[in-house]
Amino acid sequence: MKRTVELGFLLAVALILSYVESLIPFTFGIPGIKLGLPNLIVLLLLYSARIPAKGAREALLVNGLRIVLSGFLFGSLYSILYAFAGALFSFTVMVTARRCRCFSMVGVSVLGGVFHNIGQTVVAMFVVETFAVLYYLPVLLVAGVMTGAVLGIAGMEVLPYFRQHIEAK
Amino acid sequence: MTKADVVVIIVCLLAALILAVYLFNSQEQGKLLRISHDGETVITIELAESISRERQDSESGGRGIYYLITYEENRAVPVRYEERPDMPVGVNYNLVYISPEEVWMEAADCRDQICVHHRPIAGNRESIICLPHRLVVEIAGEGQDEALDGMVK
Repeated sequence: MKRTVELGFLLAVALILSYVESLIPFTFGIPGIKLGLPNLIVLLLLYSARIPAKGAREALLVNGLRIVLSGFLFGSLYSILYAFAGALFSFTVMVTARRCRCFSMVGVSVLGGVFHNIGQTVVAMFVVETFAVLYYLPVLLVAGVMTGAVLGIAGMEVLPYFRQHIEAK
Repeated sequence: MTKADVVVIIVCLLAALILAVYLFNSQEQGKLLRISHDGETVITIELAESISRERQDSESGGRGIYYLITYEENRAVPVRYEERPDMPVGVNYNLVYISPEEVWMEAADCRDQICVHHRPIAGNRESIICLPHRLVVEIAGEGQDEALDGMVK
């Protein structure tokens, strides 16, 4: 029961982060570049769990609900579709990277950011049925590396406090 | 940070660089502008001919034309204007400014306005995409555009 409350709390934090992100004007004349702040919650859940599979399950649950809720609050059905494509892709990669233990939080976060952008580019390619979308990919890759690294560093700083207050079983 | 982290970062940056060089190595001035909706070409325009008949004498800035794309029953209808037209009411639209020097999205009623904020395009293979309206505005050279698109369809 206590865990449910904690996850609900984390979902609320992730939603706030989605909102904060939507407030930051972050346009470089190229669409699709975001900070990916809510991914911080996913990272923390993946890293704080003692049993990796349980952490992955909880992170997936919180992030999935976050996407649906923030989609209805700040976006549209279309943006939910895009967000899911990117999130599932990056989530799978992050869980795998976390398992292999050779990466720190920065590496996992960078991989997550990069594959989030690859996933969204692929979906956009099928939606507008053109190859032209691919020309955004180099910029999106670099953006994924940078935002991923920033979030990974932030995550490493926050993790000890997170562990203190949110006790993973 | 571990060694693997550094390797991942370097590999990603290298991949971006190689992809950029591969995609943009023929960065010449494009000749054709293609507007497509749902993957189907709506209209193709010679950039050299996109000069307003009324303002053809004015120097570089503002001698281009406008194309208003409206959507009727999921079909895109393009109309050419020599001057900036008023926005239609009651239908979804994209207004594209086209001149031989550069092309940009002047206005649109899509929800995210990403296409309107997109920087102007000029070079070969550059594009502006309005995802909510599934509209693609891209610059292509001559006879080199179908091969790549075939892969997606």
